[in-house]
Amino acid sequence: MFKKTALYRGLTCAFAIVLVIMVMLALVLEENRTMVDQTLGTKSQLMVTEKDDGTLYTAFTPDEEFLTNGKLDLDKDLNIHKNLGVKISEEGSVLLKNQNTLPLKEGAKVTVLGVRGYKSLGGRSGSFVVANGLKESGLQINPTMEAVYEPIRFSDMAPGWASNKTYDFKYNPNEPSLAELANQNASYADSFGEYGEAAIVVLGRNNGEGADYKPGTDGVADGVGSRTALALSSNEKAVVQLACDNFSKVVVLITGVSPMELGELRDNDKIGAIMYIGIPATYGCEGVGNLLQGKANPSGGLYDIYARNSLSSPAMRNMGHYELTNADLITRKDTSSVGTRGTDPGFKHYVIEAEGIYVGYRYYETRYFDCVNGDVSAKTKTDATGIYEDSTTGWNYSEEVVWSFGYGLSYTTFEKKITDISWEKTAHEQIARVSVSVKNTGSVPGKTSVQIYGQAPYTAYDRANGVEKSAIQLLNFEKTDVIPAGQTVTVTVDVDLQNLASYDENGAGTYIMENGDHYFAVGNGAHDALNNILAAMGKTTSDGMDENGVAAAARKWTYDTATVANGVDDFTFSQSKNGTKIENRLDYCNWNDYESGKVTMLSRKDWSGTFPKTYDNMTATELMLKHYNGEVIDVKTKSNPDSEEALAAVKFGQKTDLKFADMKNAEFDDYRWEEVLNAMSIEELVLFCMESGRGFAPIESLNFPQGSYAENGPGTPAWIDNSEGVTNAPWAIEKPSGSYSLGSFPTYAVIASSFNPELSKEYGRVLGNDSIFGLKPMLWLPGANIHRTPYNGRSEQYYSEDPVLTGVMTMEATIGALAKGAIVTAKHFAFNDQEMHRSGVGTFMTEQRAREVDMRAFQIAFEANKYDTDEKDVGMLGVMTSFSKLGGIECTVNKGLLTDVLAGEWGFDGYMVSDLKDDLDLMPQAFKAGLGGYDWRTESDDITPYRDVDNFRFDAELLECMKEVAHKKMYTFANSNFMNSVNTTTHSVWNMTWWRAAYISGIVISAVLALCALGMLTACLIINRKENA
Amino acid sequence: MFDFLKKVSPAAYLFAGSAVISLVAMIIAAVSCSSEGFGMKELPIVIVLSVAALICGAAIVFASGKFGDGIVSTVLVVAMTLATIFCVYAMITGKSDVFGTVLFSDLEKGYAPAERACNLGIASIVVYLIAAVLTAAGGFFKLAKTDK
Repeated sequence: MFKKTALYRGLTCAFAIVLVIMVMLALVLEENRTMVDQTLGTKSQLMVTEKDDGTLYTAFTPDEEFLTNGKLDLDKDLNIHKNLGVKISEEGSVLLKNQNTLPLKEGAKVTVLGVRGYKSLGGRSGSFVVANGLKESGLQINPTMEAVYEPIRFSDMAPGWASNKTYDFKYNPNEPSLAELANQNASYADSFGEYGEAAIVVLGRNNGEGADYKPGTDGVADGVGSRTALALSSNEKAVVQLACDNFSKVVVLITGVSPMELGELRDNDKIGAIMYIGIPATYGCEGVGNLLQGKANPSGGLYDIYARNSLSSPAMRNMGHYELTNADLITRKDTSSVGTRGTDPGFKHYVIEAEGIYVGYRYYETRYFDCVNGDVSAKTKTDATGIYEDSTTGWNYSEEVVWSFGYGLSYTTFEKKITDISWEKTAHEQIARVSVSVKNTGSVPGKTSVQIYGQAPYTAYDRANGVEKSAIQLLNFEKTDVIPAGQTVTVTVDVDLQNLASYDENGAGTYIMENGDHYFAVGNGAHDALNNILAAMGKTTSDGMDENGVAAAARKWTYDTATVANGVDDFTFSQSKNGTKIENRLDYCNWNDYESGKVTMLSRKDWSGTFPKTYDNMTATELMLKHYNGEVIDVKTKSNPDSEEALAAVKFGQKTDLKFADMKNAEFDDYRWEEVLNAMSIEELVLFCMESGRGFAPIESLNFPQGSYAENGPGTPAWIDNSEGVTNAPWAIEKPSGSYSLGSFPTYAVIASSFNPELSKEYGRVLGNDSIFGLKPMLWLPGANIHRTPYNGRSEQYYSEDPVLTGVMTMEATIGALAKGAIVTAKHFAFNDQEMHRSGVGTFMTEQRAREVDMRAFQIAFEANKYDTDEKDVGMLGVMTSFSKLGGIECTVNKGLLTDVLAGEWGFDGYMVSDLKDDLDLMPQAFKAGLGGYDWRTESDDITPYRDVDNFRFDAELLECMKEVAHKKMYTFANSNFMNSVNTTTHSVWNMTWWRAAYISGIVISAVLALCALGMLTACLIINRKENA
Repeated sequence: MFDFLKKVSPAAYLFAGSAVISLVAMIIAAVSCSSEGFGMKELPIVIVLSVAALICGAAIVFASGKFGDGIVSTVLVVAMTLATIFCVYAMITGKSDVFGTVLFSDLEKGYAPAERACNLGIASIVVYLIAAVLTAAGGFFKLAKTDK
C-alpha cells in the first residue's frame, strides 16, 4: 500500500486540480451571484421578515386583469403582452405610400421577398420573423419562397463603427442576390402565380447598442453597390425589381429604425404601397399583417424625417470620430466596461454639434420656410461635392426630403381644422388649449393623430443675439378614437407654451417669448403643418411652396405684451414649474466657452454662410484638458483633509428606533429622514451610495436589505419568467416552467409613431405590473435620447428626433409604470447622440440646443410627472446618466446639469445612476454634483478601490452630499413597489442554494481526498526513503 | 539525443507535452490581452506561473533520472500541476469582465476586439486545463525508467 508512490502522486495532483477548480467555481459564482441567480432561478440572498405586521404587499398591487383567484395567471399575462404588442404595431406602423394597393383581401395569398421577411432580425428585441407574424394574421405565404430562403445563411449585420478598433467598419445588408435564390430553386418564380395577389418585399436596417453606421461610401462593404449604408444595395434593388416584374401589387415593408434612403421606392410607380413597420419584435408582425389586410386601419406618423440623402442634415457634417490633436495630454482612463473600454475612448474625442437646434425635420422645414420667404442664403446650395445634398440647382426641399416627420397615411382620409384656442394659466404652466375638428372624409372608419405644431417669429432680436427658431415644431399631440366614415369629432390638445418659448442664452439668459405673430397648426406631419401656416400667411405655390396649404388648419396668435422692453418677454417663462429661476447653467457645453469664436453654429440668418463645416483636428485648451482629465470639482483628500471639526459635524451612527420600512410612502421632506440618515455608519453610507444597479448594498442599522432590484430593458421585459420574485406574495405562483417566456414589444420608434400617448401609458402599466410580479422595482428604461442623425446605432432604444414626441411618450410610459410603483429610470441623461466613442465623447453644443432639443425630452417627462398629474407628486423616481460628456465635462460630474437643472429647475428628487461602471474614478466628484451611484452588473473586485471609505471620509461637504444621495435613494425605494416586500423586521440573509451546496460539497470532498492522497504520498516517500537508506 | 529519449519514462513525454502546451496557452493568453482596452492585470501572474510550469516540466524531464520518484520530483510534479491550474484561475478572474459583456449580455456581442479577447481567453483556459490534466496524468507514472 505504501509502495504506490506514483498512484498517490497522481491522485494528489488530480484532487488538487479538482479542489482548485471547485474553489475557483465558488469564487466566480459568488462574484456573479446576482447573474447566476437570474440564470438559474435561485435565490442566494433571501429577504426575511421576522414578523408579518399586515403591511406586506399592500404598497402596490397588480391589476386584476392579470390575476385569477388572486394569483398571477400566466395565460392572461401572455395575452396582455401579446395584445399590446399587436396593438402597438397596428397603431405605430406608418403607411407611407398607397396607390390603391392596400388593403389586401383577408387571407390573401402573397409572396414574401427579401431575406428580412424570413430570417430573425438581430438586436435586443428578441428573435422574430416577419413572415410568421403575417401568417398569424391570416395571410397565406408562398411556401416555395419560404423554402428558397430557409437554407440561406443570414447575418443581420448590426452597425459596427464604434472605436479606433473599428474605424474601417463596412456595412453589408447581406441581402442575397437573385442568383443565390436561383441556386436554391431555379424555378422559384413558377410559384408566383399561385401566390400572386401581392409581393411583400421586406427591407430594413438593424440597430444595436455600442456602435453606429459609418457614414458615406467608406462605410459600405465592397460589392454592396450603394452610396451609404442606409441606401438600397444592388441586391435589394434587384429583389424589388423582381417583385415589380412579376406582381401587379407590390408592397414594401421597411423594418428598423435608422431612416433609410427610400426616394427611389417612393418614386417607383410599380411599387403600390410602402409601410414602415419599425422593429415589431415578438408580437408586432401580426399587427402588421392585420394592417395589410385592412383588419386594422393605419394611423401612425413618422417618428423621424426621411431624407433622400441620409448625409444631408447639417448634423452629419460632425458625426463620428474626431480625436483632439493634443489627446496625448489626456491621461484619464475609462472605468466602464462598454465597447470602447480602456484607453481608446471617448476620453480623447469630441463632436461639435454645430447644427444647433436644427436637428432632423427642424432643419429641412425651417430652410424650406425661408426659401419660400425668399431667403437667398436658404436657397443656396451648401455642398459643392454632391455628397451631402441631392438638390440639382439651388437647395430644394422636394429633392431633399422623401417623407417628413409625423407623416402617415390611412385607408381613409381626414380633414383637420383648428376651431378654437383658449388660454389657461395653471399653478405650474401656461397652456394653449387647441381645439381641432377632425372629419373622416373617407369611406371606412379610422383613427388619426392630431399633431399640434407651432411657430414663433424669427426676429431682429434673435438675429442679433443668436437665438434660433425652428419654423415648425411639434408642441403636443393626441390620438382620436376610431371615427366612423363621414363623422366629425373635436379633439382638444393642451400645449405647454414653454415649448414655444426660446432659450436665449446670450441675451436674457433664460427663456423668452417675443412680441409678434405666432402660429399654431395641424397637419399630416410637420411639412403639411408648415404649409398650412404658410397658407395662413397668404403664401401659395407661386411663392415656391411645393403644395398649397389649408389656412383653416392654422391659427395666428399675436403675442403682444406691452410691458416688456424691446418686445422681448424674458419673465413669463423664466421660471420652471417649481418656481426656480431658469438661467444659464450648462457651463462649458459649447466649445466657444473654452475658446471664444472658434465654432460657428448654424443660423437661419445665413444658411449658406453658417452651414457647419467639419470640425476635425481641434486642439483642447488647457482648461478643457483639465476637464477631460476629470478635474472638475474639488474634493478634499487624505493629504488635504477638511478640519476635524468640520468632519466631526457630519453625524454617523446615531441611535434611532426607526427602520427603513418605517419610511414607507414618506414624503421627500419628511422630518424623520434626518434621523434615519444619521443612523448610518460612514461605511454603510459609502457602500449604499456606491453600490447600485443590480446589486444594492445593505444598511444593517436600518434593516435595508441587500439585493438585486433593477432590471435592464430596452423596452422589452422578458424577465418575469426568471425573476427572483418573492413567493409569499398573495399573487405569487410557482416558478413557471421553462416553456414560459414573455416576448418583446415593438421598439420605441414604433410606439412613437403611434402618436398615441395612451398606448405608451398602457405600455408603462404592463411594465409596472411585471415589475410587481418579478420583484424588480427598478426598470432601466425608457430611452429618452434624441435621434440626432440616422446613423446612430442605438436609435432603436430611443423614440424620435423630436423632443416633444420623445418627452410625452416617456412621460406617459412613466405614469403608467409609476402607478404600479415601478421606478422608471429614463436614460441616458443626456446627449448620447452617437455610439462612436460613446464612453466619454465630448459633445459640444449651445445651451439653447441642449435645453430645447436633447434635454427637453427629459424635462417634459420629469416636470409633467411631478406637476401635471393627479397622481401623488413623487414625479419620476429614476434617471440614468450618459457615458458622454457635455462639452468637456462628464455628465456624471456636471453639477449644472444634475443639481441645478435636473434637481433644481425640474424638481427631481429621485435616484440618479450612472451607466455601467461609468466614471468610477470620479465618484467623489459625482456625488458632489448630485449623482446617486453607479450601475454595476457583477460583484467583480475591480471596483473595490473606488469604494474605499478613505476616498470620501476627508471631505465634509462630500459626506453631506452623499447623505443627500442616500436620502434620494431611500426615498425612491420608499415610494416604490419595493415596499411590498419589506417591513421593519425585514433583513437579508445568506441562503444555501443548490449551487452553493454543490460547490461547498465539492470543495470539502476534493480537499479531503487531496489531503488523504497527499498524506499517503508523503508516507510512501518517507518509507521509500527509509528503505533506500 | 536518442539515448536520452530512451532513458526517459513515458511520463516525461506527458510532462514535456504539458510544458509545451502551457507555453502555447501563455502565448494565446498574451495575444488575448493585446487589444487596447482588453488588457488583464493578472497577465504577469499568468506568465510567471506558465514559466514556472515550463521550468518544472523541464526539470522533471531532464532530472528525473537523477531524482527518480523521490521527493524532489514529486514536489516538481505537484508544483507544475498547481502552476497550470492557477493559470486557469487567473485567466478566468482576469477575463470575467469580458466574458460577462460578450457571453452574458449584448453589450459587446459583435464587437470584434471584445469577441477576440473573449474567445482567445476561453481558448487559453482550455489549453491550460489540458496542460493541468496532462501533468496530473503524468503523476500516475513512474518518473524515470531507471527506476525499473
